[in-house]
Amino acid sequence: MTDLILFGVFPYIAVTLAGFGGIYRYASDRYSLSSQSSQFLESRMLFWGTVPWHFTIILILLAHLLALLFPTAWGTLLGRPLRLYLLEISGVSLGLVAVVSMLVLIVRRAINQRITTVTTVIDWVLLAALLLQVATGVYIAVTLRWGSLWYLHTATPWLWSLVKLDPQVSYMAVMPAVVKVHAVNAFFLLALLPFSRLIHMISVPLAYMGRSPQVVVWYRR
Amino acid sequence: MNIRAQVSSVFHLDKCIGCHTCSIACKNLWTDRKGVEYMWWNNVETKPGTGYPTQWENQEKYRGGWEKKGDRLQLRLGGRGGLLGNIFHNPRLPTMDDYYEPFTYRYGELTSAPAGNDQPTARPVSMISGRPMKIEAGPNWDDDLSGSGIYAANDPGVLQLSREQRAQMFAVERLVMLYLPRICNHCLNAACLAGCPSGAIYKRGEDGIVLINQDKCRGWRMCVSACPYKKTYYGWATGKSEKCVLCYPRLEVGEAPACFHSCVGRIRYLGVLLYDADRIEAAAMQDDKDLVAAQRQIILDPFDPQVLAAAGKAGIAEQVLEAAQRSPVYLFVKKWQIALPLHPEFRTLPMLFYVPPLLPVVSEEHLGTQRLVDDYFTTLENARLPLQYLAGLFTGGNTEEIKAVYRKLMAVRIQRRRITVGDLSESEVAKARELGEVSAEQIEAIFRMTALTSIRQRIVVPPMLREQAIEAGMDPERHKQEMGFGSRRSPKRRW
Amino acid sequence: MKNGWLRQVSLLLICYLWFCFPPSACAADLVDGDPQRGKALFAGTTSFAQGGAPCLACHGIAGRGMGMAGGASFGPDLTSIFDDYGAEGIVGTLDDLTFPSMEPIYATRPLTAEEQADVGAFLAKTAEEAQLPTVSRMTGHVAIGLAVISALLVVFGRGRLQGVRRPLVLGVRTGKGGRR
Ligand code: SF4
Ligand code: SF4
Repeated sequence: MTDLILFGVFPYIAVTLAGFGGIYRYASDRYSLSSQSSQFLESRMLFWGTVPWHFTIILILLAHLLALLFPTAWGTLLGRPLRLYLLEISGVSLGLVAVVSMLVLIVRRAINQRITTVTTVIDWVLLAALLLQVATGVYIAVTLRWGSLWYLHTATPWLWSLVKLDPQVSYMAVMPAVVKVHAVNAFFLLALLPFSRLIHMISVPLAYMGRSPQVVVWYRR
Repeated sequence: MNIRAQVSSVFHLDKCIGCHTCSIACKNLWTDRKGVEYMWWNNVETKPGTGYPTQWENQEKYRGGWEKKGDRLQLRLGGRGGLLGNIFHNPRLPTMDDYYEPFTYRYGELTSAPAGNDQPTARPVSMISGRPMKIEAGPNWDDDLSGSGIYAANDPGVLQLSREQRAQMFAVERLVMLYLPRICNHCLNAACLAGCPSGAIYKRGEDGIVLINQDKCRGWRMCVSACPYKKTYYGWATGKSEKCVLCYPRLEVGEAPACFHSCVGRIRYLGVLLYDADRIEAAAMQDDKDLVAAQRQIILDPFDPQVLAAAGKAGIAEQVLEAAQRSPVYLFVKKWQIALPLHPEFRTLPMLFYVPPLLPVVSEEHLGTQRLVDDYFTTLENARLPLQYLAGLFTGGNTEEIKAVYRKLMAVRIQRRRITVGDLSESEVAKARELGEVSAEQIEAIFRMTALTSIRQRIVVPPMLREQAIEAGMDPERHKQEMGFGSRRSPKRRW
Repeated sequence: MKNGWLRQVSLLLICYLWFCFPPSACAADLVDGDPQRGKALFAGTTSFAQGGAPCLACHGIAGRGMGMAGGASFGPDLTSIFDDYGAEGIVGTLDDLTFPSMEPIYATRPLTAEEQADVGAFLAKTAEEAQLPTVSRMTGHVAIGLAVISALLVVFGRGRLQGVRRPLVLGVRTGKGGRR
């Protein structure tokens, strides 16, 4: 029953929250569609937090996404033991860096008085959830080897079953507790997206690469 | 030819008394909210000095403005890819410590302290964290050369001078200063705009005012780094960048911007300039020394029938062209050529011009008082404020350009002295006019515009024609009894 | 791919056989198994016909050619499973993978008879080999990864603006920087 709620029902709740919450926030409060930067108040320590955090977490997320969207190709890629091992080593290294940089970010927010004044409760919830996510991720990668391969045959079919509106909870039900926590927390983070600074993920300014250097706006043209 | 109109300004530095009334007018109107306390969209610096933020002119550190890369211009901050690659941590962002941490005092403690042996004190507290703090800097910390051993001595312009020039400049009886009021220059080739990853910054086509769309701004802070004048600021409480808006709501109803209106020294002139937008990039590509001339060149003559016809075709209204013809800025910048842009070598084509100050350059100390030197013609070479320093400020290092301006300003002074004091011969005046390449009539015109104008002559706000513009896009009848157009939200973050 | 067509034909054959005799009906014979093929199946180089997860995703093994990747740890190590289970046991197990955490994967994606034989043959061969000290070696390799990332970070972080006013004022006061 618990498994059904956690892996069969909660994901849908999270996606619904993310979707409708996101639309609501986009429509009603476009002003706040960003992550409020505190670099102006403290820059040095931020570098050692935010830069490794973003680059490592993007790569890690990308790997999760590729294994979800292109399972066959991913399986072929990891079909050679050497490649599998290299990927796992890289993953663990990236994950460890992510954990450390998240710790840096958390400590910075906690000890710098300027930063604490611009920190909200939801910021703390988010930071805690992110730390939990990367910490469990690294723990899984280290103790339950090789995650990059069994993910394909457990998480991928489970997630696809969710997409097909036919949740196959059994895949996750047999998993160790830490994997369950990782999976549920992932959907919790998704649910948090429109209600926290995580929303800045949707404002990647790729259009900048193509726009003209000067922008002139007219009332009447 | 692609003609556009630009509301631009001239600040006459000989007239500035450094009273900061302008800054206060601006602060009261725009930046008295939480998160923007430290911002001074208008600030008045003492030169030599490090300014606000500290050493803002040092682009080795701040990397603002443009640089030439082969045959094109690139932000000194880096190319687009590099800029996006640095989006998680802006490599060149000045922090609050480079401006100052805003503070207040616990005044209440002065009256509420219990009786005791000591005087009660009001401790300074940070306006950010609310905790007691040690004040290390404040607005105009180096005002009037205070702390000159640290600040004036480390003015980036001063650091470029030779050792002898510095020694001469800092000799006690010679040390001199000038005030430099600064607002956003509403540049033609704005670097803040080019650096904005979200595309939130734009230039208004009708009047050239550069604004940040607060709903589109995502707080990447690249504009803060890219603007070489450090005239966009990051609002730490809202996560948005803000900048001088040239009081466009005031302009739209025909009023002067608050700092212009309140200026005690009446140093500020405002008017429309017509320019050729197709030649912006070419002008910004010139060598440092030719930038002033190139910028002057793309400013067009509002009396030229050809220009008027092309402007009409470009959709510039008759009334605006008429305002351009009355523009005092056109006279100073193009006709008399005595107003210069600040740091043209940043290549943003700033549209705020300065008449450089004559007094600190050609005065001398005599029996304990300051007076003008008698020998007008040789003083420029060993001016009290080295010409290289002034050239570094206003002409991209071109001393000939700055000399030309000073010869004109001196001719004005000499001719007026002959008229009012009468102790100079006509031949001396004629020689001054010849050197300065100005006519007697021009001198009188300059004199009148400098000293005897009314606010309507100094500040010629073009009709903005907003009503027509709005009516063209929406039907006012449908919005009857509403408070303005659309809903209004306070700039507050909840998440 | 000299005998590519051979593979195709044999695959077809397997499918045909599987249709006629569902896998559980025919227990495979290890003697027929090809350990080379079994290894490929174990590591996932060749996928299981029904799409089951390759054994290496979870099970460690000290087979030659697996290298460091032989250190999987989700499930028990299979290096010496042959000694414990024997040929009969192995075949029986491979035929019916009903361990709790494996059931959801293999219940609908069983191994074909031939695959069982191949994997079984491979497991029979590895029994002689010794376990690798995976964890300590892995630690070393992760440390290299961390060093590389840190080096990249340091390079990326060089030359960033580190404050202007404070260093200037401090420098002048202590006579170290700035100019008097
Ligand atoms: S002065 Fe700075 S903020 Fe103003 S338009 Fe120019 S580059 Fe932009
Ligand atoms: S109000 Fe005018 S005179 Fe006073 S400081 Fe400002 S610009 Fe100078």
